Amino acid sequence: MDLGSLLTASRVHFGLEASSKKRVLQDIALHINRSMPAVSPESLFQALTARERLGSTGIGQGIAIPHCRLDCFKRLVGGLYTTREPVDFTAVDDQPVDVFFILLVPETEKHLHLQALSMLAELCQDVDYVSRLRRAGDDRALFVNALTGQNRRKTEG
Amino acid sequence: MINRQLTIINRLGLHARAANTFVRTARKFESNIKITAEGKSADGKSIMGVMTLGAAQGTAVDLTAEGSDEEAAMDALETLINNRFGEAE
Repeated sequence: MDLGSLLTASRVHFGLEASSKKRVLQDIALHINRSMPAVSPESLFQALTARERLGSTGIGQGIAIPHCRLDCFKRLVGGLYTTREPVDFTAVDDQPVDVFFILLVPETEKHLHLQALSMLAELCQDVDYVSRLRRAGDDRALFVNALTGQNRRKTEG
Repeated sequence: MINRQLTIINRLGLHARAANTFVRTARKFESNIKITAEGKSADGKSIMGVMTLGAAQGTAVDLTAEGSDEEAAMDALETLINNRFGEAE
């Protein structure tokens, strides 16, 4: 699996102003609703929040992978968001988070979900890749950096 | 150093929350933990590392523990995997 099969420019946003975990998830839910009107921002926010209650998706080094399952998701899709300032996300390493990879998982999906997590974890272990996301500066550059970074990794490895 | 072969039996496999639980348990011990699945190896104390394995239900994993508390660490991790990371199915 590659990131290009999950991301579209319409679910990528650089520099959210949100300054709390709750506001980040609300802003992301609203932004996703713009390109996926069938997904209500309230139910998406509730589902993401419910998942966070089971344990933070902050996986360390300023990165989180908020995700949830909902009936209305027809296929696995992703989103990518950054915040202007790192936000307390109760991450595993207690570091604040400013890079958010979102996964919206269909109710019955198992294998693609694991493959997507595996792919994201591999990308996020590359500190240069993550720093290119942080330095992107705008939505378009964030989208391009997210996809080209992983292509570069592929050709190298 | 001790080594055990186990199978991931929970329905959702080694997803983010299960990986988190695994790593939190591994970090309680001083021993180095390595987990290998389908040819990929990861540091058992790194959540990103464990997530890269993408181990689904039915995947055979190879656990290695090395250190002063390796027995206890291995027992705790084996119990966790066999208890489906505390998940219902």
